[in-house]
Amino acid sequence: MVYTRFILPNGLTVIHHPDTKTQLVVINILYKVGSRDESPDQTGFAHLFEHLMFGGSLNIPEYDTPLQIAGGDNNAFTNNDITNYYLTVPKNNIETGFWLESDRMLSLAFSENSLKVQQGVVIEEFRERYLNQPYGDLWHKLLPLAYKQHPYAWPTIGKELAHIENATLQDVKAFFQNFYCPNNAILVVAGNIDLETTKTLCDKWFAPIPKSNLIKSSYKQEEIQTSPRFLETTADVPYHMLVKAYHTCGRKEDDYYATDLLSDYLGAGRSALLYNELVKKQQLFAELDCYITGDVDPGLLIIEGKLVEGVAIEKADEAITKLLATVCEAPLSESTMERLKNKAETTIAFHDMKVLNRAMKLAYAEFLGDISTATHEQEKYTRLSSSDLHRVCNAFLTPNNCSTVYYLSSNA
Amino acid sequence: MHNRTETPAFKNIDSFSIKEYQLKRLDSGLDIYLIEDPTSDVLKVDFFYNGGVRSEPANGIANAAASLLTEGTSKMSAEEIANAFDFYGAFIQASANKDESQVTIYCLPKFFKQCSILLKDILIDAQYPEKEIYIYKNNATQSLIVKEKKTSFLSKRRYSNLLFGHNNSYGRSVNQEDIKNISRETILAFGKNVYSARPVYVMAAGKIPDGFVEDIDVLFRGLAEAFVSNIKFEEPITLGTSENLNWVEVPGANQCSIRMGKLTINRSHKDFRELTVVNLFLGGFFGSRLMKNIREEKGLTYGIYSDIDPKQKATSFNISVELNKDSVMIGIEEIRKELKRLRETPTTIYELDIAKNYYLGSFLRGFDGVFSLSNFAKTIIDYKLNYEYYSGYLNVIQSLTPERVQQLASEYLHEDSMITVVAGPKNE
Repeated sequence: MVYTRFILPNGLTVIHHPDTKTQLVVINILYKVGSRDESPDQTGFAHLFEHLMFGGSLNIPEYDTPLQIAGGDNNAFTNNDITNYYLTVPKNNIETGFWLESDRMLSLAFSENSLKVQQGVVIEEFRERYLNQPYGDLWHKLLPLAYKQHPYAWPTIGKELAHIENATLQDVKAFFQNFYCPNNAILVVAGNIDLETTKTLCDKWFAPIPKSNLIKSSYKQEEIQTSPRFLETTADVPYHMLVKAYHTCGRKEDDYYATDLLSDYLGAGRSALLYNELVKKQQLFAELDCYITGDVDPGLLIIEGKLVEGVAIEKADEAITKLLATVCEAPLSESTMERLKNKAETTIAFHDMKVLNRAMKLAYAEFLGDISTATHEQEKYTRLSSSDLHRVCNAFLTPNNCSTVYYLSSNA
Repeated sequence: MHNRTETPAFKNIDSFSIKEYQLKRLDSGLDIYLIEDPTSDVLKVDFFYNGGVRSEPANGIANAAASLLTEGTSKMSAEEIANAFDFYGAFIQASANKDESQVTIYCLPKFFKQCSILLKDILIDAQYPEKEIYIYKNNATQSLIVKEKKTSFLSKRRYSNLLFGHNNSYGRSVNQEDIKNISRETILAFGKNVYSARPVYVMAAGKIPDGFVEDIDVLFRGLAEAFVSNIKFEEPITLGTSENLNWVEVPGANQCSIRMGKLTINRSHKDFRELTVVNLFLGGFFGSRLMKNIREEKGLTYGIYSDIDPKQKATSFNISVELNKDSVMIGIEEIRKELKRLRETPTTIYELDIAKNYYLGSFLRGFDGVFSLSNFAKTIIDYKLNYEYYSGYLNVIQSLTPERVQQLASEYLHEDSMITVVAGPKNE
């Protein structure tokens, strides 16, 4: 993956990644702000704000239309750590992308009506994805159990509808002024565009945007968990669900890759250990997943599954704990390591097929502080040994590091 | 600072270039379509079989057979099969839709040969073990019961049922009783028919490794001709009219899920391509009339979409939206208003141009990358078209006029010709 990185005088980091195979150009802008930057009584704000970024900017009444008429498409997402905006446009029309993205970095329109409408939209999103789904409020139960100090204690959508309803235009302005500035963003320009043109367009559209006095949010890091945590909740769902969350390391730490591979061993696909032991052999679970959250600050390894009807949840819980204890006993075999690494290699290769994916990967690697990891991802996995996995397994998968939720069915 | 209020000059998309497939026909008659990107280092190979849901002898069999295909041969257990593919870093997936079944391998090109040897054994010797069927049935039942708690699932199920009729395989859905009745005998017979014969065709996208065509030849050598089901397709008959709302009552739900639509013209119809442009304008992208009105002006939903869903034997036009339970009536009324407006009031050239240019851009995005190109190729193969079908889209889109939009809307998208289903709590 070829790229050039440079920084504009206003602090905006720019990464250019050429690919002449495509007829398109991608602009990806990562703002270094996410739900961890929210205050506990105003949660969901970073995500609500993402919606407002489409409500018109200083000189452009509407974001979407000029892009659509230039044949482009766009979207965005917010997570715990970042807010990421991306667009693709035919290569001839790339200036439209620069114009739109730079104008909303310069300043938003701050319209009362846009705020009101998007509050409505986000409230319906909250209902659709978290309230009107069986087990949809699981994260609202689990996160505050696992995190006692850190803002990862609430989901990106927000703790409650009221926080979204109560947001004011004043809050929106303050948030923009602090976080949406060139010195808090990473711009990736990728696809069928050369470096020269990229530099010219960056100078024209982004360089004049003033730097701002960014005040980084301060929040507490999570203290080490020293004893098991437990929560039982009951809802109108058909089956019991069991969730176990273990604190792991941060995304920038080397052990992140070992933890990722460990979660693959436990939970990915039909060869996964948990699936074969607990779904197939012991038939305790009807479905069972294991994955990591991959957050920048120390995240979680989560095991979650719906029980087979009639199975006692304590029995299923015990079976997981027991199985994890055996995994902790001895390192994995060399052939298991090879298959996990081969699978990671295929996953990376397929992911990197799309220029948009590569653009996002570059932006994220830069955000993490070392852009070269975007091109050396495979090596990070290749050089892992079974003792690395054994180490993280013993460090993280212990009862004292675990938050357990019994999400019980009121009908069972 | 220079003038930021003016839109930078942009060019309209005035040509389409779509990379076509290469066809290799084996002596056995099997067709292999190749979409090559020698600069990539991945390979996706699809094997397409007749024998989807509309060819199954009993409800739920096509999906069960697909799901259980890799769950054991006489030599290998499910876990051993999974481990064997994993060892090469490969992903194997079998699935069934209404029209066909398919097996897909995702792998690094260097491992395709090994994967094809593993696959051959599975295709000719899948055993569908009782033990695995038992687990499958249990878990499929539980998964269905969880889905039945979702208003979006319930509205879609009832909608398909009414739209195509109870006897039509596009309209039928699998219920708990169906899953209970699945037997090994039926799965085995169906699985053998479908997967132990040659596929209808093979499609490979990515870097084609040396010897690939021969590997495919070896893989299917000696197998029977592709399966053709003798199950008759019952013509769809829509039940109900636009006058009554069809409610699926879900007391206590937080939102209502609405589905509205009708059967419409097939892909081979002369108006089909134009109709897809009108659909896009109405509800097919973020700047659509429905999205602008119901999301961006009124804030009533997270998203509202319309789509045209062409299947081999029938095509439907569908609108879907999830709304706050108090907004159902306003929502339906606004959808009807938009359909009426489309018919009665000519759109401005500018508004139509937004949709047209967006659509042209989405074709460019679609023509970008071999996996997406393989989807276009599949449509061309399945509907016996040629690439002019897509290159001609450029002209179809560009020449669509506001008057023609009105004509198409009144012919195909009259609100009084559609049925409506709502799943959610009925207002007390």
